[in-house]
Amino acid sequence: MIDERHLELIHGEIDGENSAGESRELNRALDSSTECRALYEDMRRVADLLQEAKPVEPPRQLRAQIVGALANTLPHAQPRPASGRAGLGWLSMLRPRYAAAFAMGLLVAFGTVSVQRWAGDAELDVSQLTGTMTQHQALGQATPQRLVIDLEEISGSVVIRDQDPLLMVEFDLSSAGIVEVVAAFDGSDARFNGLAQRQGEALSVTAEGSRVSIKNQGEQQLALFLSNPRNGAMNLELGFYIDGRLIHQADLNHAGRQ
Amino acid sequence: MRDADSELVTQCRSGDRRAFETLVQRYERPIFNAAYRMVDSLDDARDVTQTVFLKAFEKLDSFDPHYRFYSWIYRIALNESINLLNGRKYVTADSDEQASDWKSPEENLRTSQVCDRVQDALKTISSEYRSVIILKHFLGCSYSDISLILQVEEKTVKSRLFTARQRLREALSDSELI
Repeated sequence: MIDERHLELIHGEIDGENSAGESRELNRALDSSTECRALYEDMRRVADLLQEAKPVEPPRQLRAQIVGALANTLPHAQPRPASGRAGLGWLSMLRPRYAAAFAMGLLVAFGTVSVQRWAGDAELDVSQLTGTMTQHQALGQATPQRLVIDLEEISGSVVIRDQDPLLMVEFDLSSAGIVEVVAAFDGSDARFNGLAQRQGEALSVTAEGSRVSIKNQGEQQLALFLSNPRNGAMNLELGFYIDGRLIHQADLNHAGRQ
Repeated sequence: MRDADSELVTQCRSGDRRAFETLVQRYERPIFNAAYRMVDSLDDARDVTQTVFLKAFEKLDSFDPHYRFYSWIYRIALNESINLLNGRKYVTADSDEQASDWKSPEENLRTSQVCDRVQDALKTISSEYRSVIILKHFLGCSYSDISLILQVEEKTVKSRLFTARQRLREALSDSELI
């Protein structure tokens, strides 16, 4: 039977917590007690095996996801909004990979979204185009692609930021009435990856395939995250609708990273 | 490096978001690994890691600068992992999740026999004992660090470590590693 003192010295030695004097005391015990030595060797072997278990590398895109989510969290220098206007910050309490889906499911449950719209009205009606504002400049990838919207019905900006391997599409919009913004992305392997909101409360958000629809009213700041595993070029086609009528269309291009 | 954390926290509190990104870069790996050892799922470890940083960022104002940042964020990480494990008791499809879409290079790192057996052995001990093993052997915390993180006395830390290693020895001997 190993006494408490020697037990503490054995584990203290393995944990690197023993003083020089305690190490000497342990060595004397190990020399005189086979039981102590056997336990010490067993515990040392356990510690060595734990040491041998190599660290697991985090997923390559994890840091970008975290930083992207932080970008849509209120900065500390600013006062926090009242809980009723805290946007979807509480979504961070959910398991992140389910948060966006949960938000969408919740909104659908409230009946504010017609997912059917995608099935029956999947293609944009180009006959109703009233104008196109397009930015096709091949800007360097360090420069975010920005689209400024200045219409009577809706104003603000949409920005694409490259956060390798994610793309973040930031919407900063203001509209008096309800405006539906449909973002369709193509030309790459990009897929909808998540949603975060800094300000406002989206009336509804739906995502299906390579299209995301947001209904906006009032001031709203939110970000869509798109996975872009091959860093390929992507065209983001934005349509702005009121009561199903297309009032404006614009494109944003992400040139990709070759 | 850890002493520089307080400076980064101060900068972040002043509104410098980049400072927090530096903390993410510094602690992403240990927190992901700690979470993985706790919850035994790469997908869940990813979720826990993301939640830890979001919570830390949101609660940074409540962080007491007299404490070390790493002990604070490790505590959040363990609590988040334990919360997930507690929630998982009511989920029956856990094994299905393990076989989900994770076929990435990260998954391949699990192929080490020792790594797998150590992970299997960790699963056999309670989260209370797993926590001290992770803090000591994977995060390199001292007894006083662990005491602070778990908010228990040092003698309790030692006692838990002794018992945890004894139980790991039994589990590892079953797998013929000892």
